[in-house]
Amino acid sequence: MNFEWLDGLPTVVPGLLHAFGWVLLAVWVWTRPKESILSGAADRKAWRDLRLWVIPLAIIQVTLYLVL
Amino acid sequence: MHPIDTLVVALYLAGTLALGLWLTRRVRGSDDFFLAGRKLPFWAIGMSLVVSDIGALEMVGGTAGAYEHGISQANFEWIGCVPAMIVGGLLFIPLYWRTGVYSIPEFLGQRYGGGVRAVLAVVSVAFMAAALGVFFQASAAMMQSVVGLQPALSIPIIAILVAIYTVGGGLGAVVVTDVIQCIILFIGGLILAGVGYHEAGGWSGITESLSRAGDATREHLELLPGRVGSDGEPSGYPWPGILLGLGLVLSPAYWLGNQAIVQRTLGARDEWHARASMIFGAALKTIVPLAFVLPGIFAVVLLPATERDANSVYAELIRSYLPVGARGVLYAAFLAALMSSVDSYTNSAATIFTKDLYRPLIGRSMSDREDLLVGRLTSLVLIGLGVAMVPIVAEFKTIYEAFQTYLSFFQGPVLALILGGVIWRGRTRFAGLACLLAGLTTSAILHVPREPAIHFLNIAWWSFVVSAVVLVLMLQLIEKPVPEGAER
Repeated sequence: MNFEWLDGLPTVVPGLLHAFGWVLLAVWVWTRPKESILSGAADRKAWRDLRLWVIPLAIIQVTLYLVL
Repeated sequence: MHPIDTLVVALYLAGTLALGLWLTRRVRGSDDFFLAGRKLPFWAIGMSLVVSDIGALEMVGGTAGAYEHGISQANFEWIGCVPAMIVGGLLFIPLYWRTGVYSIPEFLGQRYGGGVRAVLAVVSVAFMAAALGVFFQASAAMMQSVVGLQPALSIPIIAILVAIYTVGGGLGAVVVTDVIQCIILFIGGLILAGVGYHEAGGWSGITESLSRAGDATREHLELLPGRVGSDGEPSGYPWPGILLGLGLVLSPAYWLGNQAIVQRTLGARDEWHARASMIFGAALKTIVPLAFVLPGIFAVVLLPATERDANSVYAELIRSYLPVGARGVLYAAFLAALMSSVDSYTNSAATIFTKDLYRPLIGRSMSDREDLLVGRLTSLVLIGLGVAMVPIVAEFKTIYEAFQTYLSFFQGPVLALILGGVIWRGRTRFAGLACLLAGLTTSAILHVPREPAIHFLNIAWWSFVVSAVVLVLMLQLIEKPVPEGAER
């Protein structure tokens, strides 16, 4: 129940799994239709595209977990 | 406490109280009280989300966790928040927002029936009362350590202060005061982190000191440590539990299913603001560990290695390394953290009690004014309950562990219900209840003391797996969902 069977894996594995998860998330975010992202917005200015907000967050997270 | 520090704290308290009381005048009905009249902008909601979650937990408990277990404590802010907030903002929050509900139990009740709504409402209110106990316990630890104020005095003072503006101003007062509290919190936290970093000798000084300190701190700079440390002792937060229990269960369940979180987004002025608030909050969450996790690691270097209560580390750092004036900002930041958590949980629990328990079970014909009255009275009672819970949460090693252990009990089944409710849009009567009970029973069984103990992060994972399997089996084999609008 405590995942003892994962003890033998190299220490780099969890960081890579985490980075893979972020890649999946980024792909999912970018496949969201722009219309649904902007739904309810007061205007169509570029900064309101929330997919752009996610990019720096993804880069920071992947970098942190691959470095530390 | 130095008179200048006292003045800073007094100014903060007076300002917050005045602002909260002024906002009370804007509350004319239950929509204003529970959802701030649905007028909130994304940046205010985002700041409120973060400061409600940070609370006194990160300042005291987060630093204590980092002191005990190292930088892996930051996982609760990064893996434990950022991905789920992004998915929530882009997928789940718009769905809640469009249904026009007041609460998560109400949303799940639309999918799974009144039984799930009632059970979830009771569990949520009980959890929030326990969480209030955790917040008050954190405040007692800090106040006693810093100014020598006994818990019997400090806890009632905080409780009364929060009650005054939360009971009067509702969610609007909570969010606006949260914005002020968020700014003070980040300023205070970053001041301490900067001073701590400098005093500890910078990055090279910290890494050298940690490796010299022995096996117990060797993994302090590993974000995803193994199950057993190099000292042979179990790691505080082993990576399988972090990725599976925290990343895939506790975090999504918290950010998508916790009323204190979701309620703010339901008060957004439009759907885009509701979405953006979560992404903006995720950006703020990225920098939280700088202010509230790293000081715990600096403390390993800076504070002499003696037997100490980890929960007192933050206060010791402030007392030992900050100059007069800056200390006052930190004390104010701590009070801000505490008050924002208490006001958020109080308002959210009152919403659930009023909308999901009192109205459906007792007051079906209640007027809007009566709704408002019940909400306000419930807020008062909940603050009293939180104070009464303090001796129970004092049993845990760190305050953060207490909070997460409470969460691990029911976040698994809640997440299974939310995912099921989004995937199968129809209504059912028994499937949701069976899922909820299976998950809670699994958590209870796995929490029974044993050797080796099952980590609470893994308990969250297994209770989610069991709940999800039960839900899928029920929906596929026993009870097909009835499409929305169709008669049974």
